[in-house]
Amino acid sequence: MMAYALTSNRISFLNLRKKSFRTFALILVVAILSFALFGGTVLSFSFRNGLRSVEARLGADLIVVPLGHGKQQESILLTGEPSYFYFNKEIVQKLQEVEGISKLSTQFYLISLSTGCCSLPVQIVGFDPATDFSIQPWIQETLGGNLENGAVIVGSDIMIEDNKHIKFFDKEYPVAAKLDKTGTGLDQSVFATMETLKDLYSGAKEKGFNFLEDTDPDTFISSVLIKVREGYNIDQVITNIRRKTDGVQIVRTQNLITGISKSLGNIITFFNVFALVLLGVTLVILTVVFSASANERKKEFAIMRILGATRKKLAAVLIWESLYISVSGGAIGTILAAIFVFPFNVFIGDSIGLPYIQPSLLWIIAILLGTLLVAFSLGPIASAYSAVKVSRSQTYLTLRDGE
Amino acid sequence: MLLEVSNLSKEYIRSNRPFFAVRDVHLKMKAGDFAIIIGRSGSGKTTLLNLIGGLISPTGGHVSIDGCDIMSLKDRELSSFRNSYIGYIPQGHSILSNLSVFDNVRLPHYLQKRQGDVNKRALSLLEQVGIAHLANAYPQHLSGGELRRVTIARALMNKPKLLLADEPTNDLDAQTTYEVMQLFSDIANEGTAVLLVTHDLSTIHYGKHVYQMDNGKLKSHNT
Repeated sequence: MMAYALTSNRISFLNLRKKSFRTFALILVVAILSFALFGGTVLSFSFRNGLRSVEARLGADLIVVPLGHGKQQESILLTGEPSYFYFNKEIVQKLQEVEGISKLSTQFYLISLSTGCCSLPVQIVGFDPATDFSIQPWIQETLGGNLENGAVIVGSDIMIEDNKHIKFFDKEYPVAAKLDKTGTGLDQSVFATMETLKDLYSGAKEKGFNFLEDTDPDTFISSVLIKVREGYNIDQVITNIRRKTDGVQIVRTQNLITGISKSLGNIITFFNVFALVLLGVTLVILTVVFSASANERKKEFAIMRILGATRKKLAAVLIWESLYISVSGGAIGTILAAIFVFPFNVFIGDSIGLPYIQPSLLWIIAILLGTLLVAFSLGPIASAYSAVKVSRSQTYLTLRDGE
Repeated sequence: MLLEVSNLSKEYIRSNRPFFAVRDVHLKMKAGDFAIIIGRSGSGKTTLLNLIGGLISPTGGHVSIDGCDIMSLKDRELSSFRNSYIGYIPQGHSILSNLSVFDNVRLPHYLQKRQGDVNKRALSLLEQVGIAHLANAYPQHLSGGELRRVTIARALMNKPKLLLADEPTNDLDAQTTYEVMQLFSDIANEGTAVLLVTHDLSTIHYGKHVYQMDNGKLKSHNT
């Protein structure tokens, strides 16, 4: 006959197996908590990383765009939704006269097509290497030098088949490098110098892009990125720009960050409150169920005492039961959260509309360990009162109570 | 002497007045003795058994088993002593419902550190009490008589020197009562001292010694 030693944990396991529905329900409660804790923490860390990345990558304090295109500019930066708009380059001269501007640089936006002429439909951003202060530092970080004319550099979400070339308007362009992930719309954009962009523009025009009528990159631009001079108030500079220019809209990048930060703050606050409530509810449920269970099993514990079990042994049986529940629930919840969060991270980021960068492996391991520690200790904490109560009760009285 | 009980008393406060459940009890038993204590409900029989088993503390007196004063033992030592020296059959059904019959019988072996072939011993006991075929069954599928046999087998698991049985035939029919009492006789004949309390007068002829308990006092019963 196959028989295991009846150790405390074996007795606990047999008890749990016999009460399968109750065991399943308790494991489910802990699993839900672990799922929320692990998944929620990874998500909030990812959004925080995304925010930091936006702060680091925007570079400019202000972006001047044609009137009515402010939202489109925000979409390009935040979600990578391809867009184009143009105004005359003369605006640069006017802006150069504005007091309080330290640096300014122009950009030209183009969009590619989803048809056979292009590898994929993306935002193409042309920048002026001579004046750029926003994209080049980032490119230098990745490439270790400047981007040469004729080549492009792509955002981290752009998939390139052979990793070397990308096709736009039936012409292959060498891909100099892929930029690090930012969790913003910039991950879905392609960057090129103005010289390269002019070539792209010609290609697009040859393909019959009728929206490119009279929008020659020599005469037109899409946006002007502005760095405010140190010591100047941004609001004052905005007023100065408005005084000097007409038909423009000014996007304040800090507002973008503040918007993201506010949305992120709301999400994180909601998550923290939700996690705390869930933790409290789980602890109460487990404590009540373990207490009720210990109460209804008074006779069982009295019998064990009569047979020679020490008080410690009774407590150990209860603690092992709670530990089995905690460990199973914690492991199941965390695994399910990992299955949900990691493969669908891009989808989650896009759905919530916030920049999303997953934490490093070390951070993920730390979050995992933290979640498991909380989940694993829940059961023993919840059953501690019952364990003490059971081990202190008078055997004979509990035997009579249990009848 | 295996069991020596002297001046044993247990006093409770009931309705703000002292009440002696057990009063100045003296009892001695040798190995292989079979003693039966009869008495009406509430006469103090179960309390006496619990005092001897070390399950409750007396108000006064001593209990010595195999030369050991159990009152001097700390809780942990007493648990270990009870596990090794005393087989206890509580009143009513006292089987752990989540364990199989086989595991219920094996349980006392694992409650303290112990060596030996536990599985062989458990099967042999189940054979001895005539329910080896039910080893894998669970308590809810057993009859009252079968459950009682499981508790007897379990009480004998660690080869105790003293077997205490509280109303072991309480809810059994005449035939099963006969079989169970015969088992106790056999156990006593094999050298284990058996102390049984009951209010079932039909069983007293199995005992070598019969006592009567009345208002907490123990006296010899004239059969």
